[in-house]
Amino acid sequence: MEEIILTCEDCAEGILTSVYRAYEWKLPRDRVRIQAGEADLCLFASYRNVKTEAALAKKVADTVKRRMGEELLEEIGYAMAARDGRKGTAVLRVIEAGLEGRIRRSLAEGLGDGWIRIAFELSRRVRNEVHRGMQFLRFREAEDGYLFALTEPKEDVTAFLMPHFSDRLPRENFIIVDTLRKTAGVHPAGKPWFLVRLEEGERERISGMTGRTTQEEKEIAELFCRFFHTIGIRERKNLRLQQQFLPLRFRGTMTEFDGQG
Amino acid sequence: MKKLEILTDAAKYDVACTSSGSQRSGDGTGIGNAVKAGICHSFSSDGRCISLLKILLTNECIYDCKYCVNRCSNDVPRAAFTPDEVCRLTVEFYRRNYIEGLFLSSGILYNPTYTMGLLYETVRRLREVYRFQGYIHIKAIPGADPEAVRLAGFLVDRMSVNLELPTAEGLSRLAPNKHRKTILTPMRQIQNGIAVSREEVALYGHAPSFVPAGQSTQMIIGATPENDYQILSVAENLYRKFDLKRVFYSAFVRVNDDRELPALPGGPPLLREHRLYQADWLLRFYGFSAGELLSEERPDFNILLDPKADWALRHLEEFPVEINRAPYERLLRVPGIGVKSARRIAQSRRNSVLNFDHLKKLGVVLKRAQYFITCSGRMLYPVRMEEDYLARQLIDSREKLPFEADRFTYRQLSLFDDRRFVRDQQDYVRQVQP
Repeated sequence: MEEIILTCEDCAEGILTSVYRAYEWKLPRDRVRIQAGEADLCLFASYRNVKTEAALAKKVADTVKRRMGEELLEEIGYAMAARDGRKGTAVLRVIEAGLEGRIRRSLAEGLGDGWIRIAFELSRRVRNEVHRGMQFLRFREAEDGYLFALTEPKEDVTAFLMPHFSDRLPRENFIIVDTLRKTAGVHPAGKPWFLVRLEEGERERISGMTGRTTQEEKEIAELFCRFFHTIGIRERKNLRLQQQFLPLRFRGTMTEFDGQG
Repeated sequence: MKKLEILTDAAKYDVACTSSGSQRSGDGTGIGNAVKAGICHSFSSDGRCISLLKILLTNECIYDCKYCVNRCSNDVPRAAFTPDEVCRLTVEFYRRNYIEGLFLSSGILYNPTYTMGLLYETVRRLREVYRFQGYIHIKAIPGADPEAVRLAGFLVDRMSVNLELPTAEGLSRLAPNKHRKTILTPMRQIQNGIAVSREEVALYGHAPSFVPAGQSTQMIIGATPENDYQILSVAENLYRKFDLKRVFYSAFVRVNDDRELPALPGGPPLLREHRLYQADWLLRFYGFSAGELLSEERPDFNILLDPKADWALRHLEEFPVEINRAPYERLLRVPGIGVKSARRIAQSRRNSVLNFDHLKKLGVVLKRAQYFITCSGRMLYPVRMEEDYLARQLIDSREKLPFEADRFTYRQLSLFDDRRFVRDQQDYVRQVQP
């Protein structure tokens, strides 16, 4: 029996629309897969492209929330941001399991099932990366007084970071740039935040930003570096432990590791 | 800039740097919020987390505690921040996501009440003038006017009073100006304040909350001759009778030369500190009591085995535990199963029968757990339930210790890690020195 593969945009709404279509078109459960974004084509499979429709995606999200609770919706939300080809199908299987009553409130209940376990792992992976963002992201102040942060996260986490920082810095203009995905979250002071895709010209401008910080910015950064170096206790020095908690890949954008690799 | 260095240097031996326990959204008019689980923003070269801007308001001090760098008889550079300087630093660091909030402590300037007043003024300014809504942890100064402590309590998330040394006797020897009673009084006051405030919040909804993230304390380990059993019992009492959120243990670092202080040729007693933290977790999250882990006859932790494995070996009659049926409390007592994996087991066995493969995926450390569990009546491998044999197996599957993970400062377990040996050796040193 050949597989039916629904292809869609690589975003939460795309995947949820595909879930809706899978039910609407009454596709045979055991043979449907959802593929978000580009991937290698399979020879023995039929492909159907799904156009993203926000209204349908919202219907699915509402159903998940109503039947399986907010926590599970949040978990799926994280899983759908993962950089992993299996995520679409995993989410579809999770929703099936939820509707059949095999899981009720959280993915952890269904860890005996292979697909649910994949969804659980993806969800946890993205959630951890979001937390790392909250920990290690560093803002710098540009000349006109707004804050900017350059990040290079493994997963697409900017959309999850924005609510956190908007709540925290409501009166600041700030921007979080994902230099790998060329996207940015923008928060104008006192207004709601939004995401933008960066065009060629803007990219240049943003990469030029690091050079144009204020004198005060340099002083504060210097103060923090001093603080950072003084707080360690010499008798307990343990670089391996430090590295375990703070992997090297984050240090490139962190103020306290500037100029020392 | 120099000032920041001096006052950071002076504060670094304080252990607590957690930013957990408070959940609060920003109100849109200021800066900051607080996240229940806390956020560590960086990790210093000793692998400890940096979550809060940890500084002293001043390192001037009228006291002369033998173990402390800031004691008045030490000749170190002295400095002091003004409240405004502290506020500006906190806010500027916070804006850039360097920190989660402020940890403010102080040496005793003039007298305890005056010092407490300074701390209060600083956090008041930070909250009201700078509209800072992030995390604040301050020290309650023993011996200060209770009113000053009370006022400060309504502004901060966490307060702590340092017990310093586990027993009153040790305290009077090393900290002649501090008394057990003056330390316990504010601790009790904060405890009562928290209880009253919780009731008010429950009743009226919007009453101001008093120290919402709870209070903590810390003890220095290895400066005085208490054994592990005494220390753990003190901690247990603090949790039970004073509702403390955390007790921190700090391996003694010899910063002053003083004949009252022990010489520690092997460096700070990190293994001992590690074992105490392990046991502390067992007390708080695993339902163990101090008396189960240690006793007058066995007053110290095993240097080769963690406290939970040690307990399990002495209670083989409780094992093996059947994963698919045992109550949650018994799962928690299995070495290699933590709070998270126990919870996951309890959740996922509702829908399916678990086997060893599942357990591995749920995060159970089979290397240790396999000797103590069955899945559907079967063990992973046939095992002799015999104390000596199992002890050998567990010691062979080497435990990962945080300070041994560091290949740069690799140290072998030595006799110095055993408290009894260190004590004997120090008695000996004391005898030969006139």
